[in-house]
Amino acid sequence: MSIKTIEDLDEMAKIGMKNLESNRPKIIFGQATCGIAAGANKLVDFTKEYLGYLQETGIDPEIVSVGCIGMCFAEPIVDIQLPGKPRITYENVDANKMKRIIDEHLLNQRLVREYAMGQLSEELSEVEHGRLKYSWTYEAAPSLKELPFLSRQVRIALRNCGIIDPESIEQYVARGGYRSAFKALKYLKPQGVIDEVKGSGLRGRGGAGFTTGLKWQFARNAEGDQKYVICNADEGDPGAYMDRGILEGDPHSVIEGMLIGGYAIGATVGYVYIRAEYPLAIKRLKKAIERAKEYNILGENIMGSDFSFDLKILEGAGAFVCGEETALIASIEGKRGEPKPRPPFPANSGLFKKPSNVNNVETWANVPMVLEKGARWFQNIGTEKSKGTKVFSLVGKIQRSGLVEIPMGTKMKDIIYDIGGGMQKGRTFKAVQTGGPSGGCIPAKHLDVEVDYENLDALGSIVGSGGMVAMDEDTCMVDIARYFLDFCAEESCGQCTPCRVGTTRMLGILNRISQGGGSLKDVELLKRLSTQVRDGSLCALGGTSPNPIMTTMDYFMDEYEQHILNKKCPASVCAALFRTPCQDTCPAGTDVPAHLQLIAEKRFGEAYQLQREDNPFPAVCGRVCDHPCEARCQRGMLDESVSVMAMHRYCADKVFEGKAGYMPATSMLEPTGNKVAVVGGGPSGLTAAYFLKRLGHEVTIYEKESELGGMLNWGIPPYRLPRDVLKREIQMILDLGIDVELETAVGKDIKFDDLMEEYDGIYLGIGAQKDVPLNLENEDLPQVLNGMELLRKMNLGEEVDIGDRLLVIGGGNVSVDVARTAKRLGCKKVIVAYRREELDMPAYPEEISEAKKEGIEFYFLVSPERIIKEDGKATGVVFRKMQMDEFTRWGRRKPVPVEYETVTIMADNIVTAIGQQVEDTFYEKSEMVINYRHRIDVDKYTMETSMPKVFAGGDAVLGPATLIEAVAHGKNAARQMDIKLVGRDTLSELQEKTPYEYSMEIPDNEHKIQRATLQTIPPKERENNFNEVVMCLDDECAIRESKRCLRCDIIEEEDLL
Amino acid sequence: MKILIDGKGCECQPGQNVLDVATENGIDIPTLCFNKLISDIRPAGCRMCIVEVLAGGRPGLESSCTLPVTDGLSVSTKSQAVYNERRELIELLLSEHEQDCRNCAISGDCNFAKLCRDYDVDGVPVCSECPNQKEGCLLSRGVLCLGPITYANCNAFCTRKGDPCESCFSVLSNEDVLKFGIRAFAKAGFTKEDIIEAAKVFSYDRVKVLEKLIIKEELR
Repeated sequence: MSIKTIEDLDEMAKIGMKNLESNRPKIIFGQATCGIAAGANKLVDFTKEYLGYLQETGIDPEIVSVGCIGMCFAEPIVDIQLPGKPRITYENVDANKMKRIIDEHLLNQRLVREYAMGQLSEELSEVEHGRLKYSWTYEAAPSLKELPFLSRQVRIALRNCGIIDPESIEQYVARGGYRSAFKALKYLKPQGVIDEVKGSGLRGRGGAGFTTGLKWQFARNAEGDQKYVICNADEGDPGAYMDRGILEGDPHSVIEGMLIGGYAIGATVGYVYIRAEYPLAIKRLKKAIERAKEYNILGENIMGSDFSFDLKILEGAGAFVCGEETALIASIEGKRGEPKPRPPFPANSGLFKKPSNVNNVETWANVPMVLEKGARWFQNIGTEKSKGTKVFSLVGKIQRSGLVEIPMGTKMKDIIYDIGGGMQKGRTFKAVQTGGPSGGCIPAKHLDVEVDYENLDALGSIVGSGGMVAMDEDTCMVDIARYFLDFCAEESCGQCTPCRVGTTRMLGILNRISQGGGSLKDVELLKRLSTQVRDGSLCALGGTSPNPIMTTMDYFMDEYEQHILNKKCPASVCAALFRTPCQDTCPAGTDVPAHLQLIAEKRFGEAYQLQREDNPFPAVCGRVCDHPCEARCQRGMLDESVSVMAMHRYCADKVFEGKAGYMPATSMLEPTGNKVAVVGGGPSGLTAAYFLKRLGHEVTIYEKESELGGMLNWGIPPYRLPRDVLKREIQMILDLGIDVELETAVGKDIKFDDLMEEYDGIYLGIGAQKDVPLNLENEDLPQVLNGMELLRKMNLGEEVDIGDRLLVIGGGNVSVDVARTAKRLGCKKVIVAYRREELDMPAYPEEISEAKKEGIEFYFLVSPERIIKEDGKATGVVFRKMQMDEFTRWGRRKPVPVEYETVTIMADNIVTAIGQQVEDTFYEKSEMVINYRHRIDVDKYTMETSMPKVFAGGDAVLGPATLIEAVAHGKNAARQMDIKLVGRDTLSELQEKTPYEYSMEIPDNEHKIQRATLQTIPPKERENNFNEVVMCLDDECAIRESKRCLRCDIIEEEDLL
Repeated sequence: MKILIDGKGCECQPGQNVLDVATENGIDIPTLCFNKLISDIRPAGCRMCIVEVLAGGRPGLESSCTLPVTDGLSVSTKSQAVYNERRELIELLLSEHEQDCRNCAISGDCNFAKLCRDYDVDGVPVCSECPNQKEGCLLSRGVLCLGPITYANCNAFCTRKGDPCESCFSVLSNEDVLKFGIRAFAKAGFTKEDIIEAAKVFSYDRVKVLEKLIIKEELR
């Protein structure tokens, strides 16, 4: 049959519509490459077999295969359609689910609510004809259009993907297909078609974004007896598969687009250059071409006009550079796929030296819609300069990955959070890489960018073909730059010098940095090479290859510095820079696998001392550490991470119970004769003193209070950290022979200058104890208390009057501690108010959940605005309601006030705990640099202050920080002071003095073992006392837990080869 | 038709490329991959012939061998951007080049070595790699060795054997280094004529520069 008139098309559309809405029940499988990879083919086989058993029931469903609807995170996707009813989409279907779906839905017409994602009750795309509409809908399932993944999408290029059978031309026609081609051939002049496309503002979707209409105009104006149109389906960017999705789901849309394009510029032959790695796309495209020829939609005198057009498929051999149009043309000609200098542009001298026009798959797929609905309609979508929509393949560590088609100008954060659902496992977003190897990384601070060609270009990245790789905190940006550059160096055609040699040299430098051999000079060299390679390369492959480096250097310079100066990979990715992820993540560098192995061997004394090599507070850390190591434990990929903190505590408790067994002595170096002073007896000061003493220096600690311990002593309530445990570990430090001057405040009781004269080095671990004020009126009323001060009084057992209703403002550990302590002291109602959401609270999640169990109330998204004063007393606080808004440059959402909405909370007493700052002022007279946040400025790596021989660390530098960070600062400062005093790094010598030997066998790592859960005493028993809440693990549990370690520290010999 | 190269108006025909026009007008643009004998093949691969388009085209760096002349085109062959880019290209090429010029057949007539000198790539004198430390510097023993003013990268083959450097790699272009060398010669008691005579053998093109500097340094 051949199509001649519009009636013929209507006839075909009727057949297609009948197919789409047949009277037989249908089982529809998403069988694009993504679905097949997820197991769709096996599922089809299973379904056919299972239906065979059901033959006597008389049910005879049709099995249909469609392309990818874009929801790759839910593959395999199966739709069930009963006659006259909308499709129900089931996600992540396996054989068992399939069985149930057939039994319940197909046989009994009852949908399986648990597996159902939604129903296709409304049209998802922008098509004019054949829109899906149902008068009857399921009540129990949401419309697919309402799902967050699909609700923001505007589907033009993906209009039929996942809806129609890609091998059925009738269904394509039913959805309005080939009408635009018919219209163009019958009623429009070629120039008219070009004017329409020009007017629409459609730009090339392959990456560069050149105006399509203008490109066609050049090709039309060029003189030549033969012209060509070419479809670029050589999609090679890692993580990008939009073109595959379109070709597999809706090949006719590309054919129609090319037909229109061919007519417009006067080409009679078209080529589709498609990579051979897409066999399914090739198969479907071939089939589509055959079908089109049957209906005289391709061939001679198409659809009764005098225009003839033929379409050929050419398979590319997989060279990335063949995505560049001149290289692609050379490849079609049978030559080596190498780019040629432009001019001459392909529009003048392209394929076989004839005028040619190359467009990307997605561009071609857009063309029929532009003609069908008109330029004006298309113009209304998108931004001023970038019209229409763009398909992105959203991949990486994101919740919902897949193909999304959004209008240009959609904000990046909407794509990542609303459509993509944020990061997996609740991790923190770090950056998004757009545009493949030619693109760049966009950091969290630019999440508000409106995605279009110009804006991404301004950020150093590109829209590119549409790859969008979301990365979380576990991604190393140096490694990302290295990966993409490796790709470019591999794929460089080798023709021109900057690309061939330049990328290789840059890769060499990046390799050096990621292996710990980099220097700051390398950074300069990289910058210089990047610009020269960008400016000097022949084609866009070389010209854009430095983009990943340039953007990561712009936005993540600190990571490069960490690799170069600190020899540390913050994300634990660069293998040469760390032994195990846990040890690398621990700020103090605890050798976790060895520690766990020694516990498994029940050698508690050695395990305890091994931990003390890096951290003098094993028992304390076993209770109050925020355990960053566990977040990166590799066991977490298998089942759950090892409970490292609980193991620290178990080991320490065993030692304190006297079950240590053999316990090696703490190693010391020979005395050096140097005298150092440590100001402040908190965790960082004590740690510094501990290491300095072990390194052979004479140490004196100056503490202004009557007891050592700092924040550990009066900042952490005893129910979290029993005081006898703390005292014992402090005593172990002092037993090394450290002098302590208690109740001696430097600056008051003793002059800082005297210290400077007397000692060879000074460490300032003075902490941050002063509460940050709210800066509100009436804050000075006696009912408004300072969090830190109150906590301190409560912890020291002093009398405090807190009344029956206590309001705590702030979301940190201090505010939660105040709340929980107040509850224990008999306060009836305790309320914590925080201006962000619960997830954003800096307090440890365990503490928050325990607090909730104890009956403490939390109010989120409220910010204090006014303190109510009645009869000279503060009686409550008026809060402004907040909502989470734009991302700040730190990558965190900023709360903004909601207008006209306030909350008033009344209370007897109000506690402010919104942060702490450095209190001591003795150094303010000296030349010490104090930054704007009232903290001491130090060199990040050497811990030196602006004054010679004075070092600082802990809260005084960081602001309120965690215990383990304070310990790490103390340790690093001790090492750096030692290097200054002795001239070399003796800490590593010290740590090698005591040998620890333990089994180096790889444990069983195939079976899932549940993580040991810590038991807590019931909330009722916690009232009116300060007993420790968390209980220690029992022996059996603990030993099993220690054996769960996968021992990442063991390197097999074959790994080394 | 007329185009501007380095501000100089050059007569040209449509269809010509900038490199051809420059060559006709005596403006030197270095090339490595361009061959006059097969001038219809222009891969534009070495990128040495890049020029900066100032007006009349897409601004930026373009390879002149493939840049067609257009009305109002103005290019610069000597701008800082061009110099930097070319210098980087030479460095990159040098990084994958076996620097065994002594055993190379075209040593002495090498375009690339000349480019290295012109763009001052790797401008270190031979002395930096002279291993002849046992018996001391040849100059101090009264032998005229051109090491202090000669491009290194030859592995200092001669000086290692105790022979004086004859400057096969040509005299350096960095004037600061040259001044330092000239002072060293003066200290060892050599005259202007001695130095010029020795330098003439391999680096005739640099003799003038050297003479000027020697006069500046008031060496007799």
